[in-house]
Amino acid sequence: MNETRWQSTKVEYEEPPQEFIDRELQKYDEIVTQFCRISDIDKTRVEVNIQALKDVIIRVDMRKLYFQIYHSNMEANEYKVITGLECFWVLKLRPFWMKILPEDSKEVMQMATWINEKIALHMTCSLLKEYNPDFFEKGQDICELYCKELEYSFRYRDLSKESMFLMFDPFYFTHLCNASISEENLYIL
Amino acid sequence: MERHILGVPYEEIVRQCAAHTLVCDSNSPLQRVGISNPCIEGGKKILADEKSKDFFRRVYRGGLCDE
Repeated sequence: MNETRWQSTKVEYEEPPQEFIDRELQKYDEIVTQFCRISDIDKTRVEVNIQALKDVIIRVDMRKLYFQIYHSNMEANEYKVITGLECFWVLKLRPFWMKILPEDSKEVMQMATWINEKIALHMTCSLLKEYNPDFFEKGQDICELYCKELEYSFRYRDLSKESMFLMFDPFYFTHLCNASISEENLYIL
Repeated sequence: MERHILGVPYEEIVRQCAAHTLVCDSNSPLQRVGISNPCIEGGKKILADEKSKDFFRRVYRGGLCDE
């Protein structure tokens, strides 16, 4: 009986239309543009493997469907989507790359080698800048160490999607708590 | 004779299975915070503030600490 249980059930993932992919690609284009402006990197030097980036987009989309089916129609919050899904897949599938030129400094060579980690770090920092701005305003030296630790972990440590969710949940709840007391109406309760 | 599975009376198995104690993660009633592209909005804020931009430039371009 167990072998035949799911035979008549079809839960098929349907690839999103090209317009959806285009919008997401545009989003990554904006993220890379911002990253390059902040770090003084010539954007034309950052190359992308479109197949790999499309794969990132599809994997994130598939996981959202999974949440919907198996987690009570859960609509994942932005922290989960950006850090645990988008950054996770960028780090795993490594869609971005930079060719190292003979005249490149050691610093630029390091940027090129770590380009995917740095873009993922930028996505994370921008998210925190938007929702948890206090974090960067108190004790910048500590924040700098934290960012370096994150970047190192993105490359060398075993971070699953779920561990990324958990890692950033305190920021998510801090944001919700701050929002609940800073607005007239209680936001959470 | 009363039916048992793994030594547990069948009636008790049915009672326990009907209890629906398994949970799935829905991570609080509020799932979304609100802005559609928060990391792009955050990036704009970094770029709009020189001090912030300098800080992140140092972070992104800086060397890495040892483990």
